[in-house]
Amino acid sequence: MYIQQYPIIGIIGDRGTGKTLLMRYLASAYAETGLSIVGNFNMYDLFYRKAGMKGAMNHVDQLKDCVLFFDEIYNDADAKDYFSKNNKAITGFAAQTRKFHTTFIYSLQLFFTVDKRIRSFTDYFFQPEPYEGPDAKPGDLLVRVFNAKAGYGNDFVKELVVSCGKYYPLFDTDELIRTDDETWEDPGLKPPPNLPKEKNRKKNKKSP
Amino acid sequence: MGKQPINPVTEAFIVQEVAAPKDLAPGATEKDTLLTDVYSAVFNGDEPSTKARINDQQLNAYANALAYGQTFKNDFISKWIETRLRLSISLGGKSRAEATSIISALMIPFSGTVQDEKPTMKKRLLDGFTR
Repeated sequence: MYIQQYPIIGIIGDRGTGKTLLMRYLASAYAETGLSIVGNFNMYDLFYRKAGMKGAMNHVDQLKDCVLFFDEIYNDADAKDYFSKNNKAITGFAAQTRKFHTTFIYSLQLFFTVDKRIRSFTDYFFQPEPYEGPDAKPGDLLVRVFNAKAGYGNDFVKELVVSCGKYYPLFDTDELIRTDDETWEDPGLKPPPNLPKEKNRKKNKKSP
Repeated sequence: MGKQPINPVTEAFIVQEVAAPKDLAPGATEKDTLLTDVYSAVFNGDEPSTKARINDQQLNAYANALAYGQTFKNDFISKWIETRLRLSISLGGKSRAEATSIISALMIPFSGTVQDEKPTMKKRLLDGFTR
């Protein structure tokens, strides 16, 4: 069976089932293999570039050996805008990520809200949900993997349990994802928001 | 052409294991066999057993099959799935609110257009719940 070297992966699930948590886990996992990470949501304690969909599309020359993470992709490629130039551009971009040596990972809640062409180009769907088996720890996810290109009835690949608990504080579950985002930040490391702030240092300066 | 190298993270998720997966939820055994039986019954038009129950795993398999645009051979199969879903949800002890949430999230299409079928399907599925 041919396996895509740079697959397009959709992470599908209802609200609160762990889609963004799984993306945060995957971001660290891929980063450890030497790939650069680009994403449209805050990922703390990870050296990555924050970028919106349009920002990434405007800088394709810098996407080699990257893994793109786009949360809530229906913001950018709504199925209702199927005939729009915007959707056509995004699907064209997604379809050619292999040429940039880029892995494209997106999340969606409801299947039919995302442009059909993106869904058609997708190689695999990951469906996470909180794992409640024996010895389950907070943040453990049961991930079902489906081959989106397989024949009818043959698409289930596997299930696996992924321990994502340590990544809970390393992304913002309440962050609103913007539409039409042209953000293209410099790559950097965002510290977790609960680190001590600078005011302690200022207090020390004032004291004798 | 030689085998293309695949990132180990990608490989860990998408390469199908030959042996049974180790990290399964309790009760989730013979998974592939169950799904094969389910798909065989659905896609080949096998006569459904009225005593058959579908667990959550099979329900998810149905939902995913439907979500990925797979269609079924005839209306009988569609209605059978609908009945099984209703039975599964009601026999599984889920409340009406939980069932509503599941059905809404699944956005299950049947024969015909989604817009035409979904409200009627939703109503049919929710009818008959006792909780």
